Amino acid sequence: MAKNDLKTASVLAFERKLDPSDALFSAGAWEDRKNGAQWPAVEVREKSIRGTISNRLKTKEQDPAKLDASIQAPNLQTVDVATLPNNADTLRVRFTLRVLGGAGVPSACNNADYQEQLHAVVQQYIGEIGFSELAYRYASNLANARFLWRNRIGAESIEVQIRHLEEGNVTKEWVFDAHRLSLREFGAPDTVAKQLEQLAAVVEMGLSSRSHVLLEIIAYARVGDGQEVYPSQELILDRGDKRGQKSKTLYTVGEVAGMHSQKIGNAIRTIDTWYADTIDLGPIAVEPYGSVTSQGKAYRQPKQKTDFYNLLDNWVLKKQAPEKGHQHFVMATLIRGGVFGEKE
Amino acid sequence: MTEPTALLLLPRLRVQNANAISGPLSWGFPSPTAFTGFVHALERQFTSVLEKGFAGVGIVCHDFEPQISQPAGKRTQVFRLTRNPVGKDGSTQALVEEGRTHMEVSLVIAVRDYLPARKGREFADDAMTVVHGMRIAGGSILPKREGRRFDAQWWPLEEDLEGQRLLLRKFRRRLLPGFALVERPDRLAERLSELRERQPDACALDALLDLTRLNFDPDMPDPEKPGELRWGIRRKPGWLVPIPVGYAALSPLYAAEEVANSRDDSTPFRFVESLYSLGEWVSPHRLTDLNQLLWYSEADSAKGIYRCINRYSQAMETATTGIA
Repeated sequence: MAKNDLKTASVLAFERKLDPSDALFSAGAWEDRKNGAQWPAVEVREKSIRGTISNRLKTKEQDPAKLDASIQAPNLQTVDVATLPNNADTLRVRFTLRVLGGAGVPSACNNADYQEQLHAVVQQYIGEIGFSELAYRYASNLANARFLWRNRIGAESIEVQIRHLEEGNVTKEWVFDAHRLSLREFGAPDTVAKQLEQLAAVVEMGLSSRSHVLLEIIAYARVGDGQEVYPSQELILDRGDKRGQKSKTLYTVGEVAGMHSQKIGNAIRTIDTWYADTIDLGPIAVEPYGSVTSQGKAYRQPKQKTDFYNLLDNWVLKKQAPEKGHQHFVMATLIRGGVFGEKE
Repeated sequence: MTEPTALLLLPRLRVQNANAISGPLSWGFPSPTAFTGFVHALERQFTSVLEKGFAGVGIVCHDFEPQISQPAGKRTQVFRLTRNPVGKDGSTQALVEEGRTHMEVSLVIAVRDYLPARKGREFADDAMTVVHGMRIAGGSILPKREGRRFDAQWWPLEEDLEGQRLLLRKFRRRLLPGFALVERPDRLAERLSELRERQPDACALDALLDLTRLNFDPDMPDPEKPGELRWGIRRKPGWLVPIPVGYAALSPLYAAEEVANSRDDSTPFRFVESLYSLGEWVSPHRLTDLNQLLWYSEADSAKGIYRCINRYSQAMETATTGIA
């Protein structure tokens, strides 16, 4: 078969190679961090509040009499809330991260020629560039506690403990002060650079080897006694009758407040600084179209040929390797996983 | 078929976000096909150690936490969905309903190959390591907890029946507290013949629905009004559930590469539909024979049936006749 006959496989899927668990919340005192494993769990409770009408009104509703009537009507709502207890100032967030080997190997592919070519491309990347840059960035996102999302904001101090587990034993442990690391760029001050590189080396080992690497990540965030903490919110389309419906449901695992594994995963893969408008935004999550949900915008448009599919097709089918940053991006998308087959 | 010579126990695997919709009619615990497939994938990782391979898998569930919620004022439940990153034009992506569940399962794998005790234990540890890099029913397996009871176990089986029975007695305690999934086609057939007495055109699906729903019947004599019947919920003979057990062919078997866009271009292809059967959750302490626990996959390509089989009912008959 001539080389230019090569077509993208119609079935092409990759498993995610960074597999985080759900993050579970517990609470305690900052000084008592060494007993963190015994801390009581943070629970989600329900509260009902009498709110006011404060939404923007349509022009036709701005008749004063009508407005008065509608503003006087209470806006009752029931929501879920999670807070630290009144005698605990620190949130403990624990999850585990499994780094699986075999990055770039599809879990399903129905075209042997394509798979062979893809394998060649991946091997070329591993040989010439290697996973060290990606591993360093993933490690940074663990050390800087980006995965705490809103809980990170306003925290007085944050400590991240990362343990490398082998057969249940801790073989190596790192402790980071998350505030020392920037969220906007990758790189670390000299004091923590060495530790971060060691952690990155472990992640790299997981990505490139055949066996998997297991990391336990525990973050302590000092947010203040009784302060609200932010677990994931559930997406429920059908909330039922208006009466008695709950407008916010938070995620719990066996009555413990937690964060979805997907959300943790998104924070860890927030490493893409190779898109066009990097200066404004800093790193964004690795997504085929560089989409950022909070902005409602995608930064890697197919028009500019910087989206994953264009880059991958050029690289695998036409054998035009993109520039180094885009190569990192393509590999990071393969590590993220997904279904990338060609539509027919 | 060679008889199994040992059991490999993978205790208390915690699985996160496993698929909870494995058939078109029902949701809940993943289908046995997910577990036989998982075990098959595991077997293929150990082709150098195992020549004869595995002889079936026992499924025991300890904990089940489906990601559902109950809408206010309704009697039905809905799945909690995931919101995925926005599309290339910045708009929200279409929501595709998925059912997810967290669960804790123990898997009992029957091994046909004979391995000396020490090698067997080593194999069990290796298998556990490999398992933790795999997925069950699409869900990730959470890291093993500390403690010996979470380690993989190797149980060599005895040759004689009596020894095996004693061993099983000890073994089944490891599966408690929990429930083992078994198949009950006998209950289904029984119910069908009962239904046919009143309704000659009843089919197996009627019997399946009848057994798995809540029936409100006037079937109990009313103690206060003799001669009248009282309405009540019909008791079921066990914890019966509908389970998808495999696939039945809808089309002839096409040769590899004959159908466009199939998953694999080296395997023959066939269009199929789901097969349903009746399952029962039984407590492992009721198991008296290993065959009651194990599920096998079986393919009959001539008839077009690809399904998982559990011999709970047959094994129960032989066990009782053995006693009598």
